[in-house]
Amino acid sequence: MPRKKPIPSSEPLPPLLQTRLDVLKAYTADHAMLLRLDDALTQAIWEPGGFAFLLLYGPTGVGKSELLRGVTPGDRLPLPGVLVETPAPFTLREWYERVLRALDEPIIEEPTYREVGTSPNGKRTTSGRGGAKPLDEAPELRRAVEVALAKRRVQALFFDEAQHLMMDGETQVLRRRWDWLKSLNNTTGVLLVLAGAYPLLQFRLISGQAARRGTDLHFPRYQLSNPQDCVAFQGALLALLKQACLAVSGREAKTAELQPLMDHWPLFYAGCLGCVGALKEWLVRTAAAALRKGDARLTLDRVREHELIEASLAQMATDIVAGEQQVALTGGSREQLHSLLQIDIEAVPAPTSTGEASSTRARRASTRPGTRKPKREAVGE
Amino acid sequence: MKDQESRPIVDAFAGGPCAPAPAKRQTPVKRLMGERSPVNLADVPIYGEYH
Repeated sequence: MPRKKPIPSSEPLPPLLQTRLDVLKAYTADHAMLLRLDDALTQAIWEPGGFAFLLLYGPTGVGKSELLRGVTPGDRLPLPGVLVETPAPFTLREWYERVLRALDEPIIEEPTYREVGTSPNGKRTTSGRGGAKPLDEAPELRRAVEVALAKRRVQALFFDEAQHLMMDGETQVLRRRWDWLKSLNNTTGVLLVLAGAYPLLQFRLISGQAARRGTDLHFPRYQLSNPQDCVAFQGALLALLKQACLAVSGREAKTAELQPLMDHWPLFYAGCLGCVGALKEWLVRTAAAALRKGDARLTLDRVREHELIEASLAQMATDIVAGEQQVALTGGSREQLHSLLQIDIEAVPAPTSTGEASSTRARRASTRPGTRKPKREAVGE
Repeated sequence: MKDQESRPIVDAFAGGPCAPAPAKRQTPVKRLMGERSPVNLADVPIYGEYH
């Protein structure tokens, strides 16, 4: 196929090419991990089982936002859900306004709440007398949100980028945010779904009550060490490559075009660290460049050009590994739980099959070579 | 000589001469990964569009 004429970078893409690119941008493959999390999240919303909030955490670019956009529509849930991006820096006023906008509710400004001694972001600027509330608490907006949630019978509130709630990092601030979330759940009965990167895990450590009233959902990346993950990643890659080829050439890709690209799946894996959202963004950048350069089809050279730079990947990898270690550490274990409760682990039957349990009991306790078996010494004659 | 002298201190830190050796830290298995690894497209799962 002949190469087309390149489009100068100063000009927008022609409408036809822009439409093809937009189709790719809007596409999300229903890969195995996404479907698994979709099932788990939908089930948790259908029946929260007493939980006030749900933490959905995972690496950046793994597909958490896509999952929220997929689950939010009213036809998926018995009652509607509302998706709001958590503002950064976080202020209650901004958050309330976003919820009201998402619910198509009018926002009535009440400037009477601005008091002498508070700045527009709600922080006190002077140590004024009396118990004036900072503007950020915006009780009139909170009331409006509570009424709107009840009126629309909202079942779940989704906070995307919820790690913005943790930005200040101080325990005192986190406790206040937790109290606010708890109070919001108490007054509205709405399940709060906090979705974000791994720093979100700090919320679970605030208090025992926070741990009891919340549940977790980990959205992991595909792991190279897991053969099933590798196959699922290849499936996601194939689905996205087909769409990217369609965007670039305007027709369905032939197997001969896909095969050399698919044979380089480790290259794609290394460039996105197993995060399918990051992979899609990479292919969108590649397809946009290929359309502008007039490429007849998607090539590996163009793909390589638009890989994230090493420094970005290294930072991403550092964050991911730190987050995965935090998940492993805060995940706890049955042994830790038993130790905390001072339960004799031997007395608790292990959750294994009968055969395995009996073989474990029959196993001889290991001792170091040369160590005598403990027994009473013979004394005297 | 120096090693023999320092041995009791090492033992004391380890919990005594008969203390079991500390568990070896598991070294993560590094996978050799090239850029290319042929796949059979027939074995790759076909995913549709999400939503």
